[in-house]
Amino acid sequence: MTGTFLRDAAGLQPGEHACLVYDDDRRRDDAVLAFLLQGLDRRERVVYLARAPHDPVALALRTHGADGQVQVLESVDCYLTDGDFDPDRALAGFEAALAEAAASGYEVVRSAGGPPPAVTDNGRSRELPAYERRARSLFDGRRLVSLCSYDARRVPPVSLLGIIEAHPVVLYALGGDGRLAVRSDGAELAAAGWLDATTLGVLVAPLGAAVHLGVDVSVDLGDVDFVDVSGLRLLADAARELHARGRRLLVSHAPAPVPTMLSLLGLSETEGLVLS
Amino acid sequence: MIGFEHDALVYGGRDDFLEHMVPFVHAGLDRGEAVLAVTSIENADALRGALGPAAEQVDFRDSTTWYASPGKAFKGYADYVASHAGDRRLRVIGEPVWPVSSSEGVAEWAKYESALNVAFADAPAWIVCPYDAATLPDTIVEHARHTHPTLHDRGARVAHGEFVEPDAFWARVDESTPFRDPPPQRRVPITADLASLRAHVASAASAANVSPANVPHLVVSVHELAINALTHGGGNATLTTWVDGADFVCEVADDGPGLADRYVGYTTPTGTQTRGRGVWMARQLSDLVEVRTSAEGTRVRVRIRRG
Repeated sequence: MTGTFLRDAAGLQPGEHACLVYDDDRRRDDAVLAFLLQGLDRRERVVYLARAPHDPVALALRTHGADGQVQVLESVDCYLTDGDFDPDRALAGFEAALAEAAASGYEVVRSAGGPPPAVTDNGRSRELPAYERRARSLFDGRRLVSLCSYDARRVPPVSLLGIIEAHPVVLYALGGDGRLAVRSDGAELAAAGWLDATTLGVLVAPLGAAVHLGVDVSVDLGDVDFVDVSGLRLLADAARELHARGRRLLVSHAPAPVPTMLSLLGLSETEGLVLS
Repeated sequence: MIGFEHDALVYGGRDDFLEHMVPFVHAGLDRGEAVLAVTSIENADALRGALGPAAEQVDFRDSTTWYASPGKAFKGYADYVASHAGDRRLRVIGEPVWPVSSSEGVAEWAKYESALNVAFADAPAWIVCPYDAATLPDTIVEHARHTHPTLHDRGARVAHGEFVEPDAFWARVDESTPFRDPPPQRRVPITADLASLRAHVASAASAANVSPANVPHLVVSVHELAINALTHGGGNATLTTWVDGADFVCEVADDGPGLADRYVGYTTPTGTQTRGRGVWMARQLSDLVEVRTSAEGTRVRVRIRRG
C-alpha cells in the first residue's frame, strides 16, 4: 500500500487499484455501490462482478444505468475455469472489458467485486497477491479504476496480508473484533486491544469520520498494549489531514515504545500530531 | 562535484594518529567545512591538545555511544549528513569501536563499513576511519583495506588495490561466517496470530534476563520482521529464540524469494517502503542485527544483550 490510509470509495480515480477489506456485508455493499455510482455520473463503463445473482449491489445497480452502461457479471464466470482459480482468464477478462469499452466509446472502465469463495476461502487464496500484482499493468493507461473486495472473515489472514501489500490503495469496512475495539463519541475515540497491520482497519472508519467533524480529534490508547509501524502511520495520516483543516490529533496514553518509534520513522514532527 | 570519499587510516599509536589527522582537520577548517570527530576519549583529548584553539570548531562525539551498534552508527551519520544539507563538504573522523570478542559483531561491523560506500555514495562527505594496528587483530585491519576505496596519509587520499566492491564483500563475509543452527526445539511457526508471537518473545526475553526496558523494543523489532516474513515470505515463516552467551537472540526466517535490496536497513526508510522498515527498526532498537538472504529465503537475527 502506498499513500494515506484515509481514503473513501467514492474518491477513487481512474488508474487506481484498490482493495476493500471488510467483515460487515452491509458496509461493504454501501462502499461498493458508492464507488460504482460515481462511474454512472462520469459516463464510465461500470462493471460489477457479483458474488451471487441476487447480490444486493447487483439489484441496486439494476435500477440505474440503462443503455448498456452497466454490466453485471458473476464472479465465478470471471475467475474460474472448471471450478478452479484461473488468473490468466481473469486478467484476459479485464483486458477484453477495456477493449470493448473503448470500442463502445467509454474512456474508463470502473469495476468492483472480487474473486468468489472458491478462490478466497481456501489455499488458492495464496495465489491472490501474485495475481493482483500481475493486474497492476492493467492500470497503466489510467483507463481502469477498480475496487476488489475481500471478506476478512473468510480469507486466511496470511493471504490477506499479501493482498493488502499488493494493492496501492487499501480501504477498510471493519466492524471490529476481539483484537481491536474502538469506541467513538464524536471526536473522542478510545481504542482497546492492539493496533497493528492486522487490526488497524477497525480504526480507519471512525478516525476518518472524526477527521471530518472540524474539531480536534482525541485518541486514547490507554487500553492498547501494542502499536506497530502501520498503526503509527495511520495516526500520522490522520494528524496530517487534521492539520490541513487547521486542527490536531491528540494521542494520549500510547504504549512506551511509541515516542521512540515515531522518532525513528521520522514522524515525530508530523504536523498536527500531539502526543501526551 | 565530488561525491563520497571514504578512507581507511591504518595507524600505530597516538603520535601516528595525530600526524595524519591534524592536517586533515586543519585543511577542512580552512575551507569552512564542518568537521566531526568520533573517536576514543584518549584520541579525542590528544587531538584537542594538538589543534589548540582550532579544536573549538570541531564537533567531538563520544564513540562508545555513537558506535553502540552498526545500525545506530549508521543513523548517526545519516542524521549528521542530513542536518548539514546545503553546507559545504563535511569531514569526519570516524573510529569504530570493534567488539573483538564477538565474531558476529566483527562480521557485521565490517559489512557496515562496506555498506557506507553504497548508502552515502552521493553524500558530500569525506570520512576517514582510523584503525589502530597496534591493538586490533590482523583480520580487522585486513577488513579495513577491503571496505575502503582509498587509504589516508596526512590529509591526502592514497589509492590502493585491495578494495572489494560491497556486493562481493558482503557475499564473502556471509560465506565465511555462516549461521550456526540454533536449538531446533526453540523454533515456533509464525502465523497471523501476532499477539501470541509477541507474548512469546516477551516471555522468552524476560526469562533470559533481558532488561524490562529493552523487552518492548525487542517485541517491536520481531513483530515488524514477522509481518515482513508473512507478507513477502513463501508461506513458512518461523521464529526461533535462544540464549547465546551474553546475548538473547531472536531469528525470523522465511522461505520467500529473498530481499531485493541486500543493504536494507542501511538506508533511512522514507515514505511507504515496507520491507526496509522492519530491518531498519530492528537495527535501531537492538544491539546487533544479522541478515542472510538468498533465493531460498531470508533469516534475520536480532541480538539483545542480557542483564
